[in-house]
Amino acid sequence: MGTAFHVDVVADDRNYARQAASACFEVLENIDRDLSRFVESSDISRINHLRRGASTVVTLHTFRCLQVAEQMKRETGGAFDVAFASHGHPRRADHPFRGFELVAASRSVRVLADSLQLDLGGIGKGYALDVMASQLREWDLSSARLRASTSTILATEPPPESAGWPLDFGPEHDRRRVMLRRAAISGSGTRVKGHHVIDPRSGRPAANVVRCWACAPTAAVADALSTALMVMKPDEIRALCRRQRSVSAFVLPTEGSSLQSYSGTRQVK
Amino acid sequence: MTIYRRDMLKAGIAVGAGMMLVPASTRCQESAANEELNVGVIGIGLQGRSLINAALKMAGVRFRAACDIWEFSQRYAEYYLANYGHKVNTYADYREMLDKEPGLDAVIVASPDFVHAEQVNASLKAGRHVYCEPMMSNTVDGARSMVRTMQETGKLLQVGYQRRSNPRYLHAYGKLLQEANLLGRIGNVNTQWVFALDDDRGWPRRNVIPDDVLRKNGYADMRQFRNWRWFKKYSGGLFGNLGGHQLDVVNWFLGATPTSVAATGGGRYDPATQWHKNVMAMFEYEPAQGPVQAFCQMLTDTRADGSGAHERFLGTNGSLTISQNPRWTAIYRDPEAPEWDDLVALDYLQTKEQERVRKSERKASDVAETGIVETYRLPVELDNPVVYPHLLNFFEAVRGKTELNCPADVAFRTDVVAFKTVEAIAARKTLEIPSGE
Repeated sequence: MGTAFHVDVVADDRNYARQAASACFEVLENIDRDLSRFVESSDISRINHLRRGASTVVTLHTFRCLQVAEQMKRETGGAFDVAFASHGHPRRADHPFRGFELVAASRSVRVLADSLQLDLGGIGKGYALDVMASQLREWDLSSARLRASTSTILATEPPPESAGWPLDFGPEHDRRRVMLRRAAISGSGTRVKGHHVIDPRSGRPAANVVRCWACAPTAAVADALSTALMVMKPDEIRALCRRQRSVSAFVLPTEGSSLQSYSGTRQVK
Repeated sequence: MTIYRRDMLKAGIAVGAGMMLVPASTRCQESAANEELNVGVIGIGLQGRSLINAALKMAGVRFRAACDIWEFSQRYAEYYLANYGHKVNTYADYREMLDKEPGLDAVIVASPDFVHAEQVNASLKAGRHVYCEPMMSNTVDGARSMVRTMQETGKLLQVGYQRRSNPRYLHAYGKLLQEANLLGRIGNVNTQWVFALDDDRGWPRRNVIPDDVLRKNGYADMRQFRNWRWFKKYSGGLFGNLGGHQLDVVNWFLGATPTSVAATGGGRYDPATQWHKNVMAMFEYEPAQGPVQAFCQMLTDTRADGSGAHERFLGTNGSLTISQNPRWTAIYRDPEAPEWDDLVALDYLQTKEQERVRKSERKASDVAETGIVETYRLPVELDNPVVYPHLLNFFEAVRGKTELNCPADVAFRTDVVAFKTVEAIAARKTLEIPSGE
């Protein structure tokens, strides 16, 4: 996925923790093999080569990640769209683009558009963190912090005698501290890659904000939402946080402005 | 002219003589009317799961049974396959599976090497066709018995040397080496598989296999069960397990097996019970085109060497570096070799426009400059998991539509070389490899 992943886990046996973390990275490799558009034999590459009307069976990871992606597309009114790079995408908010459909019975993806181009760069890392966390639960390691670079962080139960995993975020002049537990936080911005987030509804680079953070119960949702926040209007963000009470959003409109918070929730204090 | 895959699909044009770009997904749709094959799988570890995922993408393959001595893996298979509408019965004992599942057409064996022979032989004798992961066995006698059983029963036994069905390798072998003699006389081959050793594989505490079950199935303990590939008792050797895939390509492309091997191997564990972590082996071949030396290395210190696993063939006209990963696949033309433009026109090769040199300059005589080595690519994509084509070849052979790409007797020749390499490491001298095997 082109980024470094880290696992911090609380355990009574260092070797057991290392082996559990290794199991997580094994899963991560499989997910990358399925979801990366840079891997020739991945599910996503195969989907991107299909003609309109054709379909292909995909792995459970691919299917579930696309399910979350579709859910986030609905929740954000198209501000998050893994098919944003498709040729022929209408780029109109009143004309939603439907590039594919998920067929649950066969765990397959049917292509509905010419030149569909899926790019899970805005959700794949978060999805992988969620799966890695579930892997740790299988090993009965309930307290962990998992990071995909510094952009998406997922916490399960807090370390002993702690309210959560401490995490600072926000601009230098308006830092916030979160004690993260059973939640994820993800950040997007223009400082590293410039205006690289494209608004699927206009086809233009995001210009509404320079940095943003999303907090959600799962890393996949936080990851996707932090991408969408870059292009969503304040009213849209407010409405989303009202509908989804477990979600919080923090937006920095310009460098030097103060951080705008939407819907304080149980995760963020 | 370069034909890009996307353009081909859009235009719906016929596949040219040199192109092998028909997407597997299209082939899958074309075979939708295939008769349904009932399949059982023995061994649901990493490779077993990978094979299951590949098979689920194929029309007409229906999993009916899954077998593993680890209940944890049985539950995984049952749950995972149920997601695709495949209801499977699970077993801890392959014999029980073969007895109670008379409707199975084929069995996939992805268990540790040391049980391959008994599981494969029993499956063949029970009338099932078998796809078996390499190495065939942890002993040459075990592997030989599998060839014999295949021949006696008349059932199919495909060994998973999967590069034999990879369209990129098939193109390189069939079009470039056989048809076009691209490299001229091949004098040297080198292969490498570079990766990093991880910690011992562990297991969730609540999912331990009881000691009596482990012992009944031949394992000393849970650690050895989870890390069987490192132990001589269970595995034919890491070099055979990984490097065997590459040895098989060398044998295949040269149309010969080596006549001798000299090798050295190192390890950081107990050499009496565990396999070498690094192996360097030199082979001599005597194919019809003239003698060839091959150097094969398997190194486990880092995966960050930038070139991963590949096989490189060097001839008088240039070199071919091929890998399952297209990133590590490239062809270089010697500056003195004949032009390859006709092969580019046939779409046997692709070249990047920016790497082209103006012909007028290239043809001019200039003693002041070193000749330019041109880089070419293979115009072949594989849009499915790397195990997919080989497994598909197996199922199509079961349906009687094609021949196996790697039947057991072919794979056996490769495994014999891998076993001989281990002997050479121990003997610390060059060993002859009898051609009779």
